[in-house]
Amino acid sequence: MEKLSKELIGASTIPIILSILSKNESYGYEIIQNVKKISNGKIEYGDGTLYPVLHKLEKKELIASYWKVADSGRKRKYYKISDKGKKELLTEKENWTVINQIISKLWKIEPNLI
Amino acid sequence: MENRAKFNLKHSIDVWKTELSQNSNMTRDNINELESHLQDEIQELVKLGLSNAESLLIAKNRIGNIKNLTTEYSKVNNEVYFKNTITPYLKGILFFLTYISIAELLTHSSILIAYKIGLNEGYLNLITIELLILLTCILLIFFYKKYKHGNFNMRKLTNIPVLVSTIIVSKFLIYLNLDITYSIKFSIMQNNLYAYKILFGLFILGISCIIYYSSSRKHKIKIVK
Repeated sequence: MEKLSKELIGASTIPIILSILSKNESYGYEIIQNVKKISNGKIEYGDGTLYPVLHKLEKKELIASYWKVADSGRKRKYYKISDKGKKELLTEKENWTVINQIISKLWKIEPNLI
Repeated sequence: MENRAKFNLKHSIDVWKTELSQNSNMTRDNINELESHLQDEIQELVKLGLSNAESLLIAKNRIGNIKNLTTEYSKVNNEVYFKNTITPYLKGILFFLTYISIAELLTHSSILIAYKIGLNEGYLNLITIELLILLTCILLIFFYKKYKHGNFNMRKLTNIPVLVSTIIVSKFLIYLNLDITYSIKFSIMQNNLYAYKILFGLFILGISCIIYYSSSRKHKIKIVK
């Protein structure tokens, strides 16, 4: 299965993470598995690369983290979206919609570009 | 087949965590989070029928090596990265200051002892020099042994609180007896200490030059035209 380009994955990481967390609080491993499942394996975050992104979002106060003991008895660090993160997600949605509209228009006019 | 009696998963994970803690720019919280991820990964792999040892190996590979993790985490842990970079230099300076403080304390103590037992200046001069030489020899033997055994783990010796406490205590003891040691006419011993400080400084400079020269020679690649 062909994966998406590194640049495209990088650009979509923040809206994807915020979207997942807007539905439910989650932890790193679960986020990676969710993204892999939703994208049918086209987006697969490296195990060691997702956490710095999560910490960056946390520094920007878009998400918040806390440790919780899971049902299995093990401690896990959970992330949840903040109000600022919800606003950011709305902006991201608008931006991606605009991009989507532009691309759709272009490809309708010049389908040979594909 | 895995030798379950010998393989201890918890111990292996602890070793991995220690390596991360000592060699990367990650905080304790970062490492605990990665450990949680590692355990999730291991759990899934074990469910697929792999042994604990195999699962750990694969999970560790998936998370990435220390160098890659350090690069990734340096994007968010600038502060930790800066502290990790500067700490070895700071430890070197503190170690040097501690050593000089101990040498100073030894000289001042020998002057005091000489004053109490009534030794003459010439006789004490020899004792002070011998004490300083002894201190140097101890230091050199210690480093030679470390070099010979290939064990340069200086963590215990360069523990910052220990070094700072030693400097403070030495300086305080010197300060307490400063009036006595300076009022007594044992100026030659003070001169010995100054000379020793200069010699020790030159020794450090010499060693630095040799290490720099030998390492740059070994790493130099000849450019073929």
